[in-house]
Amino acid sequence: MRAIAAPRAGTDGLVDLFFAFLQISLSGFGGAINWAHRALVEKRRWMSDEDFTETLSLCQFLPGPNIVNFAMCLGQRQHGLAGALAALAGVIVVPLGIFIGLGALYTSFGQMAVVHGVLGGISAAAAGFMISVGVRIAGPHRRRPWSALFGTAAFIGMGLLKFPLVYVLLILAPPSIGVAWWLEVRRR
Amino acid sequence: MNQGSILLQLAVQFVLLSLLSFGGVNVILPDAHRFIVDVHHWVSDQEFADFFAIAQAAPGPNFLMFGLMGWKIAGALGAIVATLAIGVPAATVAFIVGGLWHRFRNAAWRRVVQMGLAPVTIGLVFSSGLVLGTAADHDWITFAITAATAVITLGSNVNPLWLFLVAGTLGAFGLT
Repeated sequence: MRAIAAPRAGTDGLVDLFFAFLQISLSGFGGAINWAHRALVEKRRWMSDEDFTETLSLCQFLPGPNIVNFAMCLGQRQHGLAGALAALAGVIVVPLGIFIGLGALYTSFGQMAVVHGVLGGISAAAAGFMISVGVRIAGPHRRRPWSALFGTAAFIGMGLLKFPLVYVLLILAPPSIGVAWWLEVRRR
Repeated sequence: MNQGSILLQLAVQFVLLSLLSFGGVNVILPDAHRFIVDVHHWVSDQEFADFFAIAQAAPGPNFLMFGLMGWKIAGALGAIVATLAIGVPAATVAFIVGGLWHRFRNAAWRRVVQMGLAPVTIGLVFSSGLVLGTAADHDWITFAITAATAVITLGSNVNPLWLFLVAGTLGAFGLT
């Protein structure tokens, strides 16, 4: 196994964190997290492969964008609260500026037929991409009738009936977790 | 409604969504659409879809599209408030739990909770697909683009960015 590089001390370390997460954030076409492995494990050697996988699984479990959670976890580990904030700033500040710049262009030129057409095409493709993400994460649950039941209920509640998310989660998550627990107990 | 009151409502709703976003941004998209488009009419259906398209095509994580919506609703202050409201609550949870992680990383209950949440997440992601599709697909060509993208991304490892490029090009020629 390759040696893990120690983070630099003090302000240098904070600057490193900021730029590492800025780079990850800006590379994040189709999911920033895919680029995080390259930047943090392969290039900077701040984490081992195993550590990366474990941290990622925690970040996917917690609420919030994975990349934000990842920045908080790794930033904290290296430099405490200041590190977490430096990494978070790297994720947010510059990309948000770019987004707002694009938003301003959109306001000025959004009514032009070409811009309208381009965005219309991309959003149609984005809808298809979202559906494929759903199918992918549903794959492992194919043969689980309970998963199908709770997944369908969530789709009906949120997608078709447009209930507030709070209610959908409050009503569906406890029984779904209960069933998962029951299956786990029975399996033993 | 005055600006301050709109900002406050936006912030409260986004803080809530931030804490509920088990599974990331894709899960809270339908509720954000319900709140911003259906309930308050702050952004049109078309703009919502366009902002998501911009977020997909732009470098930077997709959750920043909420900052873009805040900007559209209430200017620069709106962008900052929306981004912080969607980002900071979840980040705070990650900061606290990240510190305790080694204590329960192999705990059985964590796996159970994860298994239990997964089906709900799946249903919510399909809801996102429906919301985006409803906003974007208004004729057979856009519908075909949606269907083709879903089939191609499932059947191959092609970077979705290429598909967005093709779809955007079709759109540029007035086909969408």
